[in-house]
Amino acid sequence: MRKSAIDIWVGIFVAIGLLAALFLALKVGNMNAVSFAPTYKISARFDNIGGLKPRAPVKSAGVVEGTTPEARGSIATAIRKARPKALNTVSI
Amino acid sequence: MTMVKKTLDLLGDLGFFIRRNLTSLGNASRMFVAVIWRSGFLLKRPRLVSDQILFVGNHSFVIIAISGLFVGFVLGLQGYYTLNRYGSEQALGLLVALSLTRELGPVITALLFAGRAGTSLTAEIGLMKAGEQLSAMEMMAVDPLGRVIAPRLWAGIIAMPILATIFTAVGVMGGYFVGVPLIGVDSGAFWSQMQGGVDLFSDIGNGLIKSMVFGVAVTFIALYQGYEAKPTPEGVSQATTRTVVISSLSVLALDFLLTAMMFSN
Repeated sequence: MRKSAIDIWVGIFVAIGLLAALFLALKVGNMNAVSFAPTYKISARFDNIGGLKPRAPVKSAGVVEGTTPEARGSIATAIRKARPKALNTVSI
Repeated sequence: MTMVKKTLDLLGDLGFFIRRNLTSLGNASRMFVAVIWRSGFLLKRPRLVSDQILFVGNHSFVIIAISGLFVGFVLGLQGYYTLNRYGSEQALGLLVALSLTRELGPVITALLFAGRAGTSLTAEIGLMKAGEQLSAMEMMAVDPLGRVIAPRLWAGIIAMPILATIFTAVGVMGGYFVGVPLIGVDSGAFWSQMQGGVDLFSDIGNGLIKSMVFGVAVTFIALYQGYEAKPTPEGVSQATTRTVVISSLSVLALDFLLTAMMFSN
């Protein structure tokens, strides 16, 4: 086999390995959750958001955890202060 | 009188056995240090390593990927069967991902690697020795430890984590295919439970470290057995068998040690 052909095949092999590592990190290990910011964003899609307005409080177990920065159409986005270790129910 | 003689013979055999194995352990350690010491020149000639990665890595890709897929399938089926009894089949993704990243990925990859690549490394080096190619290199002032052994060792160390990562990723996909479209576990629960329970560093990172350790162990055992094989057809075949036996056992023993070190709090 020619030298450049060997390089291409080894390159493909390493690239597949990197893709697999990326898949493990992002899809399995959820690297997006590894963050040092104090807040993070969650989005929810509802059929009908009623009278939800921007800056409405977001409560988890009755405690205010954040606000909704936008309430357009049927999508509401909420920002919560605490880390998501024990997220049970969030109400808007 | 014969009883005493038999006992003494037995003790003598035991002593011989221990002495021979200790000698080869010392010899192997000395050779390992020598190979690492001589591998600096590979930075100047990385082609030597990439040729060997093609040989041990690319050519093991298919067997690793297919095995990973089927291990994932089986984990999905068996995991669902067990979890369903406790009504927690949503945790299927977590079960599949944790078993693969922590244990099955590195260990099965290392066992398959020993069978697929380790044996051919042993046979190659053993036949080089039997054909006196290694002696010929020494006569030409080319060091066979650096020129022949070191590139293969580094190729194994590089290829094993890549193969284990591929095995794990394909296995998770296999578990997904059996769990979600086939059995009907909720797709969102499958992924979110997995993402909630798998830690990037302590699970995936430690799995990678494990596979690197296995890469060093399996590749070096294969190369050592080839290098020290009797230069006869019989000697090479015995060395190949010993490669599979010793490297499989040491992978399992090392796995226990590493698991005890990494995952015990």
